[in-house]
Amino acid sequence: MQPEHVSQILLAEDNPGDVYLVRDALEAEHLDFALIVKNDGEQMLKFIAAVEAGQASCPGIVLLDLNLPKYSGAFLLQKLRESGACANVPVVIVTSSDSQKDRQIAIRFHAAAYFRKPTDYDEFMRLGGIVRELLDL
Amino acid sequence: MTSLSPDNNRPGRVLVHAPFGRDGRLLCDVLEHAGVEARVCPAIEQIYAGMREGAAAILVGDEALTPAGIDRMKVMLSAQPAWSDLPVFVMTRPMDHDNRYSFSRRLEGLGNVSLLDRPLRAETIVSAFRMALRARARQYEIRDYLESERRIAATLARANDELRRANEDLNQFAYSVSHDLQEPLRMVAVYTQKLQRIYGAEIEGPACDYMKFAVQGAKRMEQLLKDLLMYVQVVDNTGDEDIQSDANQILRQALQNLQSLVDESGASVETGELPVLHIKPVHLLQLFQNLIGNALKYRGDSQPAVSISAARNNGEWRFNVRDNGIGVDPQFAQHIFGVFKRLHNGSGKYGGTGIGLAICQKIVERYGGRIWVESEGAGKGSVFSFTIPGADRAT
Repeated sequence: MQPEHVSQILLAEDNPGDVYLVRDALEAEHLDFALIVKNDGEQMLKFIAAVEAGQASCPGIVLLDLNLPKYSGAFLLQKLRESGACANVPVVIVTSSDSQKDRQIAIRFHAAAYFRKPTDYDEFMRLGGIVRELLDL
Repeated sequence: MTSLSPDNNRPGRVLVHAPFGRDGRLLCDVLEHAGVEARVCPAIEQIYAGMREGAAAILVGDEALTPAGIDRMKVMLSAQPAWSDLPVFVMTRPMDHDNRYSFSRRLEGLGNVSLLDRPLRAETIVSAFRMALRARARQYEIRDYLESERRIAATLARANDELRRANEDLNQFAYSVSHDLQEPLRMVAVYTQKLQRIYGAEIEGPACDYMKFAVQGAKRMEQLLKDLLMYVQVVDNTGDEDIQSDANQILRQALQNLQSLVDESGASVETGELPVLHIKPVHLLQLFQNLIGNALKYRGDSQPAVSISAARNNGEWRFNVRDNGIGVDPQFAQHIFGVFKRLHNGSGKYGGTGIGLAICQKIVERYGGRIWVESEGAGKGSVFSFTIPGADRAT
C-alpha cells in the first residue's frame, strides 16, 4: 500500500461510539488522515468561524451528524455553504435518520453523500470507501 | 340571555301591561280565575323582568304602544333566544280600516302579535290565552330538545377532541420510541459484532452462540422498531385530498417488487380487471404487497397459485386475494391482524415480525373499509378480502 498524503477529516458527532466506528472505517481503508472531532453544534460553529478568520484551515472532507446538541447538522451544513473558505468542502451526512426531510436537506445543501448509520458492523465500515472516493476526486 | 322561562315546563305567566286605570288588575283577575297565572306590569320595563323570570305571553294595551313604547318592546323581545317566539296580544280600541292597517304595520317588529278588539269578553281572553299557552309549551319542548342536542353535541365534540389528541400523542410517542430506541440498539448490535471480531478467535463453545444471540436479538429489535414506525405512519393524512390510485398499475408495481419471491416459489399469478380508487398509491401498494407476499410466503407443497380480483358492491369495492397455501385456522382469523401477532415462529420457516396484516388493517380502516380472511382451514388455502368505500369508476 502506497503511503498517502495526510488528509484532514472533520467529524461532527456527539456519540463516542460512533466516533470509534468512523475511525475504524477510515483506518480500514488505510487512509492517512488526521481526524478532528467536534462533539456538538457549538464547537462546530466555532470551528467554521475560525476557518473564516484564517485561524484554521478548511478540512478536506466533513462528516456531519444531523442530530447534534446545540445546533443541528442541517444548520451547520448551511453555515458551511455560506462560508467563504469552506463553501465547497465535500460533506458526508452521517446519520441514523431515514426521513425524507433530512434527505432533502442533504440535497438542498449539496451534501456529497448521505450515509445512514447501519446496525451491521461491516456495513458501517463502507463509510471508509465513500470517504476515500471523495478524497480522490 | 337567560332562560326566559321557568326551569320546569309550566307554561309560565302572562304579563299584563295596561298603564291606565284598573284594566291590568281586572284582566289578571279574569285570567287567574280561569287558572292562567298572570302578573300586572305597571311599567314597561317590568315586562322585561317578567320575561326573565319566565313568561308565556304578553298582553298590552294599545295606549302603551306609542312609537317609543313599540321600540322598547322590540328591544326586549329581540333578546329572545332562537327557540322562543313569545306571543304578544295587543288590545286595540275600535279604529277605522286605514288606522288599523298602519297600526298593525308598526307592530310588525314585535314578532308573534295578535290584535284583540276592545271591548273584550272574558271568554275571548281566556280562550286566546289558553291557545297561546299551549303554543308556548311547544316552544319549551323545542328549547329542551335543542338544549339536550347542544349538550350531546358538546359532549361528542369533547370526546372527539380528546380522542384525536390521545391518538396524536400515541403516534408521536410511538414515532419517537421507534426512532430514539433505534440509536442505543445500533450501539449494542454494532459493538457486539466488533467484540466478536476482536475476540472471536479466543471465544469457544457456547460463548460464540451467546454473542450470536445478542447480535440477532438486537437486529430483530431493530426490525420490530422499523415495522412499528411504518405502522404508526399509516395515520399520517397529509395530502389526502384528491388522491387516486389505478389499482391495475399499482398491482403491477407490487408484483415487480415481489418478483424474486414469485420466481423463487414458481407461483402463477392471475389478475382481474381492477378499478381506480380513492386511496393513496403507497397504501394500496402496501396492501397488495403484504397480501400477495403472504400468499407466496405461506405456500403449501403444491405450486402456489394466487389470484387477485375486485368487484363493486353496495358502494364499495371488494378486493379478493386468493391462494392455495397453508390456509388459516378459522379460530385465528381475527388474531392474525394484531400487531406482531403471528401463527408461526418468526425465526423459523416463515420470517417476518408480524406487522404486515396489522398495517393492512390500519390502512383499510383509515379509508372506512374492512379486511378479513376466509379459509376452510389449515392446508386449504385462504382468501383475504378488503373493502374500500367511495364513489369510484372502473377503468
